[in-house]
Amino acid sequence: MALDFTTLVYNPAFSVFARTVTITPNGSQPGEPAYSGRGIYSTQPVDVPTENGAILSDQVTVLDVIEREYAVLPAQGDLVDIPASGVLPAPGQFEIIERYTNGGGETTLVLRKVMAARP
Amino acid sequence: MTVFSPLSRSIRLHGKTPVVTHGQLSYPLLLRDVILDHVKQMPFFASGFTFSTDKAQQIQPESLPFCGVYFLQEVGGADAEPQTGPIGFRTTVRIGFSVIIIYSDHAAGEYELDRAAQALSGLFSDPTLYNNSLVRVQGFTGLSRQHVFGNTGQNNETPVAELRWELICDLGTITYPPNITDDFETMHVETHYPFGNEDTPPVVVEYDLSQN
Repeated sequence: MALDFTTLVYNPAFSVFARTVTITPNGSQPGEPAYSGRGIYSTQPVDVPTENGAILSDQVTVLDVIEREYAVLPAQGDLVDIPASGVLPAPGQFEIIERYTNGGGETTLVLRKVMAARP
Repeated sequence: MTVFSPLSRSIRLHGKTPVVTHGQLSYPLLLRDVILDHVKQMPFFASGFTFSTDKAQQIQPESLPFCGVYFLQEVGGADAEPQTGPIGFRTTVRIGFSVIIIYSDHAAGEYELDRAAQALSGLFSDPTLYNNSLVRVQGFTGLSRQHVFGNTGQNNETPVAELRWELICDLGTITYPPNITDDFETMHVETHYPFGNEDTPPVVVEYDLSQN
């Protein structure tokens, strides 16, 4: 019998590691108001190759969410605002650019920062 | 230790002149630096750009917007008569430009890259570049342009758009003259009449050969 990872693993883990987020569903539910959710925020380094092998140091940032907690899963185009949590600073506002499921009840949302254009 | 004469495109120094050991950069790197100086003066790049020619230093998001001007490649082709005269190569240089901006809107970001490309093409109408007496660009023989958005997976956090612009410059023929230290300056000629004509005075002539 398959294990219910959501109940056995994700709920306890999210109780410890998740932080409150606000999702504006511009992509998944256009016209609908923003709503609160929770997710585990994580970021890893990534090298972005540019012209002639020069490297731009950047990050890959994701938010893991429990699929069962969302009637309509967040999708590409949705905005995610992650405020400060306790002593942790606010990562800021992001746009969901990609999502993928692990097949066990958790979906990873790949995030891109919302920034003012420069120049 | 043999010290080779510095790179010279038109003047051969006299062998008795003290040899200057590489007081200047090669022409391709001089060209890169001259182009960078011109790009820095362009109005488009006056708005907070970070400039670099060093691809060994990783670019940080805090450095954006960013403009890199890179020496990519120098290619020397056969001169008109490679079997004669000093060694020389018909030289072309590839200079690469990397303009990285942050966009708030994908489409607007691409239009901004287009403006950057148009700004860079202002190099072609700048006589202080193609008439520069130091680098002496003979002509521009090729150009390529690409727009790239982030890494291969396009999953990097910072919303970056990059203009990759490559320019091929013809520097003409660059010669590498031999290092001659025993210049032919004086020719001494004497005539000696055969045995039995000792009373015939010899003719002695010395020629001073002009050096240039």
